[in-house]
Amino acid sequence: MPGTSDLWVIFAEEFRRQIRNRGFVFFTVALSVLMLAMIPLTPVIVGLLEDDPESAAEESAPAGEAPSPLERVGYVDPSGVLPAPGSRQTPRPFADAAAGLEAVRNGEIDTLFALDANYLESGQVKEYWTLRETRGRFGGNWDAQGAFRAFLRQELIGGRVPDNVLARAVDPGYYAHYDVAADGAVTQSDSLAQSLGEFFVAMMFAALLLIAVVTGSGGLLRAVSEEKETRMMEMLVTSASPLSIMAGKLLAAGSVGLIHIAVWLIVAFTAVPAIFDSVPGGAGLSFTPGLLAVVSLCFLLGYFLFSVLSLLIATVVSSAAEGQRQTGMLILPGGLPLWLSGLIVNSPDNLLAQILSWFPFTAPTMLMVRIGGGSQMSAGEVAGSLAVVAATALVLLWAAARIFRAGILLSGQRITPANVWTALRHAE
Amino acid sequence: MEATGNALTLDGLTKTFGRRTVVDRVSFAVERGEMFGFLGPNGSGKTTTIRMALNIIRPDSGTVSILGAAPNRRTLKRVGYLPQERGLPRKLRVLDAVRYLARLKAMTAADAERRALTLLDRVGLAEHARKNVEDLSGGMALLAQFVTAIIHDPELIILDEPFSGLDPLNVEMMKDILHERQQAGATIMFSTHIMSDVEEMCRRVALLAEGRLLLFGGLAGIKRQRGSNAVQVRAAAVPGSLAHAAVVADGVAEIPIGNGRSPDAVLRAYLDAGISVERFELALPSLNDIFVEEVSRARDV
Repeated sequence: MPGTSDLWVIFAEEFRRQIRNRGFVFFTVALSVLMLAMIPLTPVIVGLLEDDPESAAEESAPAGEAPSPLERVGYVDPSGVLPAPGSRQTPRPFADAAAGLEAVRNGEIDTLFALDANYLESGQVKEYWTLRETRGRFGGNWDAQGAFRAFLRQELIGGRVPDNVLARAVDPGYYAHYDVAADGAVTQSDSLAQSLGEFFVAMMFAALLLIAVVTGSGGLLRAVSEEKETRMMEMLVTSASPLSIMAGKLLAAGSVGLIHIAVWLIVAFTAVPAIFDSVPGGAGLSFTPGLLAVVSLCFLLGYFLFSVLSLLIATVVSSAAEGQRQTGMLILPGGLPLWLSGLIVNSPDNLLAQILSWFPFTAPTMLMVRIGGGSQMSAGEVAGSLAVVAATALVLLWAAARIFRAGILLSGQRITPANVWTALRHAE
Repeated sequence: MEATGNALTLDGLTKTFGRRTVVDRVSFAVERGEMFGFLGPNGSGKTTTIRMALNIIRPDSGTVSILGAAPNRRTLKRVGYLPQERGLPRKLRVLDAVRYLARLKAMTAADAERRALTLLDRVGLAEHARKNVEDLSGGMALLAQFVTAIIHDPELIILDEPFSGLDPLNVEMMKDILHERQQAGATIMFSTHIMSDVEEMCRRVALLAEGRLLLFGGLAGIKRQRGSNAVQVRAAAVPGSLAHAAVVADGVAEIPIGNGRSPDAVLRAYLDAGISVERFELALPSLNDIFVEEVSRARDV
């Protein structure tokens, strides 16, 4: 059957062109290789990042012993409520604030906690520290603060209560979180590790969709508009039907999208958990297969929609250069949810997020951002939103097919609403 | 083969864009096996007519018969086409582009590859076959696209302004290849506004201007039909009575007739002056003269 054969020839040629595209090679192969390379590199990078005075002090600790956060901490107790230090060296006691500050300036300690003379009543503690320059405004001295707080509790009540009570007073408990739904159903909340893991994977797929749209769908737009400009398209339509041409090109774009997703899924299953394990506090970060399935579906339908949109734009743009410029239009709606992600992640089910989930060009990335933010949207809402994406893609495909032949005539003309209207009027 | 023996028949083709009628009830036929010239000034509607003939765009009215059938996909596989504004995608390798279009003309991959290499060699592009199109000169890219139009040995070859942008050597090479294709049985129709190419290559022509068909038929017949407005005389001298009117070039005097001066009167003037005449013939108008006259008249209407 000639039509089938034409479709296959066009598919094969378009597929070959797209996978040879430098953008595809870079973002699919090179990015994946980079992610896999991050497995051995992450511990090295983490080690380099920790190469600060605090870490140096930790490294000087005896092998096999975890360095105490109080190692380079001093304190002053003019209130006298704390027991005498005796032989204890950590945290290091000072007779007065001046001596302690001198030790901070000399680099003997990083942090000095000075209790108020009226500490029992006021609870006031002044903290002097030197790590602001390396940790920045938000870096904080959390480890030293937490450790000194525990030290204060222990010193204040130690010896006055049994040891197990003291242990709980110092570390009051470990929390398990449960969600109570509107209907009263109780389910255990996702663990922090799983939440972070799923956030990372969803946001990664949203970003990769945008990259794939620019390289894949954008490449399709540029290729078709160039074929129109060079009159190659006229030669194609004397050899194959417009439907075969469009279907071949879209199938190729879809196959390239599948390759994108397949490669990145392999990376997600192999590299990402390994990288998580290498990051401090990242061990145990996880994501469910269900989440991966949903974001993959969002990716594929989004990619299909933007590929069809590319084809439609290519049928009406006047030149390859115009097609190149219009590529930017593709990424604007798709990128909007990512630009709003700060807002969406903190409130994944707010009204704006819900509205943009039903707008087809923002829906794929918006769903992924919301899922990453832990949205409580129902499966029906996700399915409905994706159905809108699929339906829009089919409508655009129909429109592209309708004006494809007339659109050929627009090549070389300035694109104006009148031109497009003329093309539509001559559509068949 | 259809009964009429025509490779292409256009009947009443009309196309309007907005309020402008670009092609207006154009009818002509191209016979099988001939080399047909499709003439017209820029913007006369030639390209639109060709696009309708090839079903690239649909006519508002009129019909097309190509190789005895409607211009459907199956029929068009037997047609080769070179568009006017030419180019192949810049990032494609020349061989890949040629092979791709050949495959779409139902050639097998192996045949397409073999034939592409043969023809690229024939047009002097063998060493450029694996280069990207963007690395070729304009003329080379044009030749590569010409190869795509003939690679599948089409029964009908339609070329829109095929010689523009080529140097004289490549023009001659392309003409040679077209003559070879014609001798092998192919029908060739090409559009142009270079009259010398048509006079050299075509027996029959159609002339289009302002979307209307002005002339159609055999070139010799059209010239005869236009009649003569001068005589050409090869003689040793020009009689004094005709000297003011004669234009002499290469020993041949061209003398206008009309306004009371007949060919007989011119010949009598030579004989009366005792000048021996070597050759005496009616000068038929050149295709260029006919073109200018017809197109000017159409534009004045």
